[in-house]
Amino acid sequence: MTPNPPDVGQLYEAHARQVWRTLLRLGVPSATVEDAVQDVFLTAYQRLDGFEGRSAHATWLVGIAVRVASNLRRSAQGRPLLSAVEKTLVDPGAGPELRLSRERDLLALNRVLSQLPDEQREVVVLIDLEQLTAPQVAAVLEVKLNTVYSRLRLGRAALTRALSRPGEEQR
Amino acid sequence: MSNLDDVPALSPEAKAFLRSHAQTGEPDAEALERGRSRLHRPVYRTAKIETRARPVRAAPNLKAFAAAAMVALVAGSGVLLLMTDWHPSESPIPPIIRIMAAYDSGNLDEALSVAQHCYEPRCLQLYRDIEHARTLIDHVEMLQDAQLEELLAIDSAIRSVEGGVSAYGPRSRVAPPSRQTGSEARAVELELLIDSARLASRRGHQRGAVSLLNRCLMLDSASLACTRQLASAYASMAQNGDRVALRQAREYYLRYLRIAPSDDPYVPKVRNILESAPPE
Repeated sequence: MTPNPPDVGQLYEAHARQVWRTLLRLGVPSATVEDAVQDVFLTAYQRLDGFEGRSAHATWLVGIAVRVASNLRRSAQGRPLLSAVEKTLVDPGAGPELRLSRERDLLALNRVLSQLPDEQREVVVLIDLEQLTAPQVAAVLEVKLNTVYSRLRLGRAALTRALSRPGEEQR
Repeated sequence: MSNLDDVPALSPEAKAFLRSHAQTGEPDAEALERGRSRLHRPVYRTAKIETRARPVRAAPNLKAFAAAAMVALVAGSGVLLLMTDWHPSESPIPPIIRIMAAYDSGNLDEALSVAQHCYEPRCLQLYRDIEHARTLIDHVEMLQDAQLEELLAIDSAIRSVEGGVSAYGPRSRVAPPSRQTGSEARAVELELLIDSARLASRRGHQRGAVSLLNRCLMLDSASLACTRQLASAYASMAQNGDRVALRQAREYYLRYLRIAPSDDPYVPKVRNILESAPPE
Protein backbone atom coordinates (compact mmCIF):
# COMPACT_ATOMS: atom_id res chain seq x y z
CA MET A 1 0.00 0.00 0.00
CA THR A 2 1.48 3.38 -0.98
CA PRO A 3 1.48 6.00 1.73
CA ASN A 4 -0.71 9.06 1.28
CA PRO A 5 1.13 11.94 -0.39
CA PRO A 6 1.99 14.73 2.06
CA ASP A 7 -0.09 17.87 2.10
CA VAL A 8 1.49 21.26 1.80
CA GLY A 9 1.39 21.79 5.58
CA GLN A 10 3.48 18.69 6.12
CA LEU A 11 5.88 19.79 3.41
CA TYR A 12 6.21 23.13 5.17
CA GLU A 13 6.97 21.49 8.50
CA ALA A 14 9.61 19.28 6.94
CA HIS A 15 11.31 21.63 4.51
CA ALA A 16 10.56 25.27 5.35
CA ARG A 17 13.95 25.80 6.98
CA GLN A 18 15.84 24.61 3.93
CA VAL A 19 13.67 26.59 1.53
CA TRP A 20 14.05 29.73 3.64
CA ARG A 21 17.82 29.33 3.91
CA THR A 22 18.22 28.61 0.22
CA LEU A 23 16.24 31.67 -0.84
CA LEU A 24 18.35 33.96 1.34
CA ARG A 25 21.56 32.38 0.12
CA LEU A 26 20.45 32.89 -3.46
CA GLY A 27 20.16 36.61 -2.78
CA VAL A 28 16.48 37.08 -1.96
CA PRO A 29 16.31 40.11 0.36
CA SER A 30 15.28 39.48 3.96
CA ALA A 31 12.41 41.91 3.48
CA THR A 32 10.80 39.73 0.83
CA VAL A 33 11.91 36.29 1.91
CA GLU A 34 8.65 35.53 3.72
CA ASP A 35 6.71 36.27 0.56
CA ALA A 36 9.14 34.20 -1.45
CA VAL A 37 8.75 31.26 0.95
CA GLN A 38 5.01 31.57 0.63
CA ASP A 39 5.35 31.62 -3.16
CA VAL A 40 7.37 28.41 -3.04
CA PHE A 41 4.79 26.56 -0.96
CA LEU A 42 1.86 27.95 -2.91
CA THR A 43 3.50 26.75 -6.11
CA ALA A 44 4.07 23.38 -4.46
CA TYR A 45 0.43 23.30 -3.39
CA GLN A 46 -0.71 24.01 -6.95
CA ARG A 47 1.58 21.35 -8.43
CA LEU A 48 1.41 18.72 -5.74
CA ASP A 49 -1.06 16.61 -7.71
CA GLY A 50 1.35 16.51 -10.65
CA PHE A 51 4.37 15.60 -8.51
CA GLU A 52 5.62 12.34 -9.94
CA GLY A 53 8.05 11.44 -7.20
CA ARG A 54 11.05 11.37 -9.51
CA SER A 55 12.96 13.35 -6.93
CA ALA A 56 12.66 13.77 -3.19
CA HIS A 57 10.26 16.42 -1.97
CA ALA A 58 13.19 18.43 -0.61
CA THR A 59 14.89 18.55 -4.00
CA TRP A 60 11.62 19.41 -5.71
CA LEU A 61 10.99 22.30 -3.32
CA VAL A 62 14.55 23.57 -3.69
CA GLY A 63 13.97 23.56 -7.45
CA ILE A 64 10.90 25.73 -7.00
CA ALA A 65 12.86 28.00 -4.65
CA VAL A 66 15.61 28.44 -7.25
CA ARG A 67 13.01 29.53 -9.81
CA VAL A 68 11.27 31.89 -7.40
CA ALA A 69 14.64 33.49 -6.55
CA SER A 70 15.46 33.75 -10.24
CA ASN A 71 12.11 35.43 -10.97
CA LEU A 72 12.75 37.88 -8.17
CA ARG A 73 16.12 38.72 -9.63
CA ARG A 74 14.50 39.36 -13.00
CA SER A 75 11.70 41.49 -11.56
CA ALA A 76 14.25 43.49 -9.58
CA GLN A 77 16.39 44.30 -12.61
CA GLY A 78 17.83 47.74 -12.17
CA ARG A 79 17.44 47.49 -8.42
CA PRO A 80 20.34 45.37 -7.26
CA LEU A 81 19.20 42.68 -4.87
CA LEU A 82 22.54 42.67 -3.19
CA SER A 83 22.22 46.08 -1.66
CA ALA A 84 18.88 45.12 -0.23
CA VAL A 85 20.26 41.87 1.09
CA GLU A 86 23.23 43.65 2.54
CA LYS A 87 21.31 46.29 4.28
CA THR A 88 17.83 44.97 4.87
CA LEU A 89 16.81 43.71 8.25
CA VAL A 90 13.27 42.54 8.59
CA ASP A 91 12.92 39.69 10.98
CA PRO A 92 10.79 40.87 13.83
CA GLY A 93 11.04 37.48 15.46
CA ALA A 94 14.27 38.07 17.29
CA GLY A 95 15.71 40.65 19.63
CA PRO A 96 17.63 43.56 18.15
CA GLU A 97 21.12 42.29 19.00
CA LEU A 98 20.48 38.78 17.76
CA ARG A 99 18.93 40.12 14.58
CA LEU A 100 21.89 42.36 13.94
CA SER A 101 24.27 39.48 14.41
CA ARG A 102 22.26 37.25 12.08
CA GLU A 103 22.04 39.90 9.46
CA ARG A 104 25.75 40.58 9.68
CA ASP A 105 26.37 36.90 8.98
CA LEU A 106 24.00 37.02 6.05
CA LEU A 107 25.62 40.18 4.83
CA ALA A 108 29.09 38.61 4.98
CA LEU A 109 27.92 35.52 3.12
CA ASN A 110 26.08 37.47 0.46
CA ARG A 111 28.94 39.88 -0.09
CA VAL A 112 31.06 36.97 -1.19
CA LEU A 113 28.40 34.98 -3.03
CA SER A 114 27.20 38.03 -4.94
CA GLN A 115 30.54 38.15 -6.69
CA LEU A 116 29.69 34.91 -8.44
CA PRO A 117 27.57 34.92 -11.59
CA ASP A 118 24.04 33.73 -10.81
CA GLU A 119 24.44 30.34 -12.47
CA GLN A 120 27.62 29.56 -10.57
CA ARG A 121 26.18 30.90 -7.35
CA GLU A 122 23.20 28.56 -7.62
CA VAL A 123 25.43 25.53 -8.05
CA VAL A 124 27.82 26.50 -5.24
CA VAL A 125 24.94 27.21 -2.86
CA LEU A 126 23.17 23.96 -3.65
CA ILE A 127 26.21 21.68 -3.58
CA ASP A 128 28.63 23.30 -1.15
CA LEU A 129 26.14 24.81 1.27
CA GLU A 130 22.93 22.81 0.92
CA GLN A 131 24.82 19.54 0.32
CA LEU A 132 22.80 18.42 -2.69
CA THR A 133 24.50 16.02 -5.08
CA ALA A 134 25.46 17.07 -8.60
CA PRO A 135 22.78 14.85 -10.22
CA GLN A 136 20.16 16.38 -7.90
CA VAL A 137 21.32 19.86 -8.89
CA ALA A 138 21.21 18.91 -12.57
CA ALA A 139 17.58 17.84 -12.06
CA VAL A 140 16.72 20.98 -10.10
CA LEU A 141 18.25 23.32 -12.66
CA GLU A 142 17.19 21.19 -15.62
CA VAL A 143 20.70 21.21 -17.09
CA LYS A 144 23.15 18.48 -18.06
CA LEU A 145 25.34 16.98 -15.37
CA ASN A 146 28.47 18.22 -17.12
CA THR A 147 27.10 21.74 -17.02
CA VAL A 148 26.73 21.42 -13.25
CA TYR A 149 30.33 20.26 -12.89
CA SER A 150 31.54 23.06 -15.12
CA ARG A 151 29.63 25.71 -13.17
CA LEU A 152 30.83 24.23 -9.90
CA ARG A 153 34.44 24.37 -11.04
CA LEU A 154 34.10 28.00 -12.13
CA GLY A 155 32.05 28.89 -9.07
CA ARG A 156 34.55 27.42 -6.62
CA ALA A 157 37.39 29.25 -8.33
CA ALA A 158 35.42 32.50 -8.20
CA LEU A 159 34.63 31.89 -4.53
CA THR A 160 38.31 31.40 -3.71
CA ARG A 161 39.18 34.55 -5.63
CA ALA A 162 36.49 36.51 -3.82
CA LEU A 163 37.74 35.33 -0.44
CA SER A 164 41.35 36.08 -1.25
CA ARG A 165 40.59 39.77 -1.61
CA PRO A 166 41.84 41.33 1.61
CA GLY A 167 39.14 41.92 4.21
CA GLU A 168 36.40 40.68 1.91
CA GLU A 169 34.61 38.42 4.32
CA GLN A 170 35.06 40.72 7.28
CA ARG A 171 33.36 43.70 5.74
CA MET B 1 34.43 17.03 -17.27
CA SER B 2 32.37 14.02 -16.47
CA ASN B 3 32.37 13.61 -12.72
CA LEU B 4 32.84 15.38 -9.45
CA ASP B 5 36.43 14.14 -9.14
CA ASP B 6 37.37 16.40 -12.03
CA VAL B 7 36.16 19.45 -10.14
CA PRO B 8 38.84 21.00 -7.92
CA ALA B 9 38.01 20.72 -4.26
CA LEU B 10 37.17 23.82 -2.31
CA SER B 11 40.18 25.75 -1.10
CA PRO B 12 40.76 25.53 2.66
CA GLU B 13 39.69 29.14 3.17
CA ALA B 14 36.54 28.64 1.09
CA LYS B 15 35.77 25.48 3.01
CA ALA B 16 36.25 27.27 6.32
CA PHE B 17 34.17 30.21 5.17
CA LEU B 18 31.26 28.02 4.04
CA ARG B 19 31.48 25.94 7.20
CA SER B 20 31.25 29.09 9.30
CA HIS B 21 28.05 29.95 7.41
CA ALA B 22 26.42 26.56 7.74
CA GLN B 23 23.60 28.10 9.77
CA THR B 24 23.40 31.47 8.06
CA GLY B 25 19.95 32.21 6.74
CA GLU B 26 18.18 29.86 9.15
CA PRO B 27 14.79 31.25 10.14
CA ASP B 28 13.92 31.35 13.83
CA ALA B 29 10.87 29.71 15.35
CA GLU B 30 8.75 32.86 15.18
CA ALA B 31 9.55 33.46 11.53
CA LEU B 32 8.55 29.88 10.77
CA GLU B 33 5.35 30.35 12.73
CA ARG B 34 4.52 33.47 10.74
CA GLY B 35 5.13 31.53 7.53
CA ARG B 36 2.94 28.69 8.79
CA SER B 37 0.05 30.99 9.60
CA ARG B 38 0.40 32.76 6.24
CA LEU B 39 0.20 29.44 4.48
CA HIS B 40 -3.39 29.21 5.62
CA ARG B 41 -4.09 32.75 4.43
CA PRO B 42 -2.59 32.55 0.96
CA VAL B 43 -3.98 35.85 -0.25
CA TYR B 44 -2.24 37.88 2.41
CA ARG B 45 1.12 39.36 1.50
CA THR B 46 3.34 41.52 3.66
CA ALA B 47 5.39 42.97 0.86
CA LYS B 48 5.10 43.18 -2.87
CA ILE B 49 7.44 41.12 -4.94
CA GLU B 50 6.36 42.30 -8.32
CA THR B 51 5.56 45.76 -9.45
CA ARG B 52 1.83 46.11 -9.51
CA ALA B 53 0.23 46.90 -12.82
CA ARG B 54 -0.27 50.59 -13.27
CA PRO B 55 -3.37 52.05 -14.86
CA VAL B 56 -2.66 52.88 -18.44
CA ARG B 57 -3.29 56.49 -19.04
CA ALA B 58 -4.33 57.28 -22.54
CA ALA B 59 -3.27 60.62 -23.95
CA PRO B 60 -6.20 63.01 -23.52
CA ASN B 61 -8.04 63.92 -26.65
CA LEU B 62 -8.12 67.62 -25.91
CA LYS B 63 -10.23 68.64 -28.89
CA ALA B 64 -12.97 66.15 -28.11
CA PHE B 65 -12.80 67.06 -24.45
CA ALA B 66 -13.09 70.78 -25.19
CA ALA B 67 -16.02 70.23 -27.57
CA ALA B 68 -17.86 68.04 -25.05
CA ALA B 69 -17.20 70.54 -22.27
CA MET B 70 -18.57 73.40 -24.35
CA VAL B 71 -21.72 71.50 -25.22
CA ALA B 72 -22.27 70.51 -21.59
CA LEU B 73 -21.60 74.03 -20.40
CA VAL B 74 -23.98 75.66 -22.82
CA ALA B 75 -26.70 73.09 -22.28
CA GLY B 76 -26.28 73.11 -18.51
CA SER B 77 -26.27 76.89 -18.28
CA GLY B 78 -29.37 77.15 -20.43
CA VAL B 79 -31.27 74.64 -18.34
CA LEU B 80 -30.22 76.37 -15.14
CA LEU B 81 -31.22 79.79 -16.36
CA LEU B 82 -34.56 78.53 -17.60
CA MET B 83 -35.50 76.39 -14.62
CA THR B 84 -34.15 78.27 -11.63
CA ASP B 85 -32.47 81.38 -10.57
CA TRP B 86 -29.73 79.32 -8.88
CA HIS B 87 -26.16 80.04 -9.59
CA PRO B 88 -23.17 78.46 -8.01
CA SER B 89 -22.09 80.25 -4.88
CA GLU B 90 -19.00 78.15 -4.31
CA SER B 91 -16.49 76.85 -6.76
CA PRO B 92 -15.75 73.13 -6.48
CA ILE B 93 -12.54 72.15 -4.69
CA PRO B 94 -9.76 72.53 -7.23
CA PRO B 95 -8.26 69.23 -8.30
CA ILE B 96 -4.77 70.26 -7.23
CA ILE B 97 -5.98 70.65 -3.65
CA ARG B 98 -7.74 67.29 -3.78
CA ILE B 99 -4.63 65.64 -5.18
CA MET B 100 -2.46 67.15 -2.49
CA ALA B 101 -4.91 66.22 0.26
CA ALA B 102 -4.99 62.62 -0.94
CA TYR B 103 -1.20 62.53 -1.29
CA ASP B 104 -0.70 63.96 2.18
CA SER B 105 -3.08 61.45 3.71
CA GLY B 106 -1.09 58.65 2.11
CA ASN B 107 -3.85 57.69 -0.32
CA LEU B 108 -1.76 57.68 -3.46
CA ASP B 109 -4.38 55.77 -5.46
CA GLU B 110 -6.90 58.52 -4.81
CA ALA B 111 -4.32 61.19 -5.66
CA LEU B 112 -3.59 59.45 -8.95
CA SER B 113 -7.26 58.99 -9.69
CA VAL B 114 -7.96 62.71 -9.30
CA ALA B 115 -4.87 63.66 -11.27
CA GLN B 116 -5.90 61.30 -14.03
CA HIS B 117 -9.07 63.31 -14.62
CA CYS B 118 -7.48 66.72 -14.47
CA TYR B 119 -5.91 68.09 -17.60
CA GLU B 120 -3.98 71.01 -16.28
CA PRO B 121 -0.27 70.76 -17.01
CA ARG B 122 0.43 70.73 -13.27
CA CYS B 123 -1.91 67.77 -12.83
CA LEU B 124 -0.15 65.88 -15.58
CA GLN B 125 3.20 66.52 -13.93
CA LEU B 126 1.78 65.61 -10.54
CA TYR B 127 0.40 62.38 -11.94
CA ARG B 128 3.80 61.40 -13.28
CA ASP B 129 5.59 62.36 -10.09
CA ILE B 130 3.15 60.65 -7.73
CA GLU B 131 3.15 57.53 -9.85
CA HIS B 132 6.94 57.49 -9.80
CA ALA B 133 6.97 58.15 -6.06
CA ARG B 134 4.54 55.29 -5.52
CA THR B 135 6.74 52.89 -7.44
CA LEU B 136 9.76 53.95 -5.39
CA ILE B 137 7.85 53.75 -2.10
CA ASP B 138 6.55 50.29 -2.96
CA HIS B 139 10.14 49.12 -3.26
CA VAL B 140 11.71 51.44 -0.76
CA GLU B 141 13.55 48.69 1.06
CA MET B 142 15.41 47.80 -2.13
CA LEU B 143 16.47 51.30 -3.13
CA GLN B 144 20.02 52.49 -3.22
CA ASP B 145 21.08 55.81 -1.80
CA ALA B 146 20.77 57.69 -5.09
CA GLN B 147 17.22 56.39 -5.52
CA LEU B 148 16.32 57.38 -1.96
CA GLU B 149 17.60 60.86 -2.71
CA GLU B 150 15.50 60.89 -5.85
CA LEU B 151 12.43 59.84 -3.85
CA LEU B 152 12.96 62.63 -1.34
CA ALA B 153 13.44 65.13 -4.17
CA ILE B 154 10.21 64.04 -5.83
CA ASP B 155 8.34 64.19 -2.55
CA SER B 156 9.69 67.65 -1.92
CA ALA B 157 8.66 68.76 -5.42
CA ILE B 158 5.15 67.36 -5.01
CA ARG B 159 4.69 68.95 -1.62
CA SER B 160 5.90 72.34 -2.73
CA VAL B 161 2.84 72.60 -4.98
CA GLU B 162 0.73 72.88 -1.84
CA GLY B 163 2.23 76.22 -0.90
CA GLY B 164 1.61 77.58 -4.35
CA VAL B 165 5.27 77.48 -5.26
CA SER B 166 5.91 76.06 -8.66
CA ALA B 167 7.87 72.88 -8.25
CA TYR B 168 8.23 72.33 -11.91
CA GLY B 169 11.10 74.39 -12.98
CA PRO B 170 14.14 72.42 -13.98
CA ARG B 171 14.61 70.02 -11.11
CA SER B 172 17.96 70.36 -9.49
CA ARG B 173 19.89 67.18 -9.67
CA VAL B 174 21.37 65.67 -6.57
CA ALA B 175 24.83 67.07 -6.11
CA PRO B 176 27.62 64.61 -6.72
CA PRO B 177 29.12 63.35 -3.50
CA SER B 178 31.85 65.62 -2.30
CA ARG B 179 34.93 64.38 -0.58
CA GLN B 180 33.74 63.52 2.88
CA THR B 181 35.38 61.97 5.83
CA GLY B 182 34.08 58.58 6.94
CA SER B 183 32.01 59.99 9.77
CA GLU B 184 30.56 62.76 7.59
CA ALA B 185 29.56 60.26 4.92
CA ARG B 186 27.96 58.09 7.57
CA ALA B 187 26.04 61.03 9.00
CA VAL B 188 24.74 61.89 5.52
CA GLU B 189 23.72 58.30 4.93
CA LEU B 190 21.97 58.13 8.31
CA GLU B 191 20.04 61.29 7.57
CA LEU B 192 19.05 60.00 4.16
CA LEU B 193 17.79 56.73 5.62
CA ILE B 194 15.87 58.44 8.40
CA ASP B 195 14.22 60.93 6.03
CA SER B 196 13.29 58.19 3.59
CA ALA B 197 11.93 56.01 6.37
CA ARG B 198 9.84 58.90 7.65
CA LEU B 199 8.46 59.39 4.16
CA ALA B 200 7.70 55.68 3.70
CA SER B 201 6.05 55.59 7.10
CA ARG B 202 3.93 58.65 6.35
CA ARG B 203 2.75 56.98 3.15
CA GLY B 204 1.72 53.87 5.05
CA HIS B 205 4.60 51.63 3.97
CA GLN B 206 5.74 50.64 7.46
CA ARG B 207 7.64 47.56 6.39
CA GLY B 208 9.75 49.65 4.05
CA ALA B 209 10.37 52.12 6.86
CA VAL B 210 11.41 49.29 9.18
CA SER B 211 13.77 48.02 6.57
CA LEU B 212 15.44 51.40 6.07
CA LEU B 213 15.72 52.01 9.79
CA ASN B 214 17.38 48.68 10.29
CA ARG B 215 19.91 49.68 7.67
CA CYS B 216 20.32 52.83 9.70
CA LEU B 217 21.01 50.79 12.85
CA MET B 218 23.56 48.72 11.01
CA LEU B 219 25.46 51.92 10.29
CA ASP B 220 25.11 53.17 13.83
CA SER B 221 23.63 50.81 16.36
CA ALA B 222 23.51 53.58 18.97
CA SER B 223 21.62 56.06 16.82
CA LEU B 224 18.83 57.55 18.90
CA ALA B 225 16.87 58.82 15.92
CA CYS B 226 16.95 55.46 14.14
CA THR B 227 15.94 53.58 17.28
CA ARG B 228 13.05 55.92 18.03
CA GLN B 229 11.80 55.95 14.47
CA LEU B 230 12.03 52.18 14.27
CA ALA B 231 10.00 51.82 17.45
CA SER B 232 7.49 54.23 15.99
CA ALA B 233 7.24 52.29 12.71
CA TYR B 234 6.64 49.07 14.61
CA ALA B 235 4.07 50.86 16.75
CA SER B 236 2.22 51.89 13.56
CA MET B 237 2.25 48.29 12.40
CA ALA B 238 0.95 47.22 15.79
CA GLN B 239 -2.12 49.40 15.32
CA ASN B 240 -3.40 46.77 12.91
CA GLY B 241 -3.29 44.15 15.64
CA ASP B 242 0.16 42.85 14.78
CA ARG B 243 1.33 41.47 18.13
CA VAL B 244 4.88 40.76 16.97
CA ALA B 245 5.18 44.39 15.88
CA LEU B 246 3.82 45.49 19.25
CA ARG B 247 6.52 43.53 21.01
CA GLN B 248 9.16 44.96 18.68
CA ALA B 249 7.90 48.49 19.28
CA ARG B 250 8.15 47.95 23.02
CA GLU B 251 11.68 46.51 22.71
CA TYR B 252 12.94 49.41 20.65
CA TYR B 253 11.32 52.01 22.88
CA LEU B 254 12.96 50.34 25.91
CA ARG B 255 16.24 50.23 24.05
CA TYR B 256 15.82 53.93 23.35
CA LEU B 257 15.40 54.63 27.05
CA ARG B 258 18.53 52.61 27.78
CA ILE B 259 20.75 54.49 25.34
CA ALA B 260 19.29 58.00 25.49
CA PRO B 261 20.85 60.55 27.84
CA SER B 262 18.58 61.50 30.72
CA ASP B 263 18.05 65.04 29.38
CA ASP B 264 16.96 63.84 25.95
CA PRO B 265 13.73 65.69 25.08
CA TYR B 266 12.03 62.54 23.78
CA VAL B 267 12.58 60.46 26.90
CA PRO B 268 9.40 61.64 28.68
CA LYS B 269 7.34 61.05 25.51
CA VAL B 270 8.73 57.57 25.09
CA ARG B 271 7.98 56.80 28.74
CA ASN B 272 4.42 57.99 28.20
CA ILE B 273 4.05 55.81 25.11
CA LEU B 274 5.31 52.77 26.98
CA GLU B 275 3.03 53.42 29.94
CA SER B 276 -0.02 53.82 27.74
CA ALA B 277 0.80 50.89 25.44
CA PRO B 278 -1.66 48.00 25.44
CA PRO B 279 -0.50 44.80 27.11
CA GLU B 280 1.02 42.18 24.80
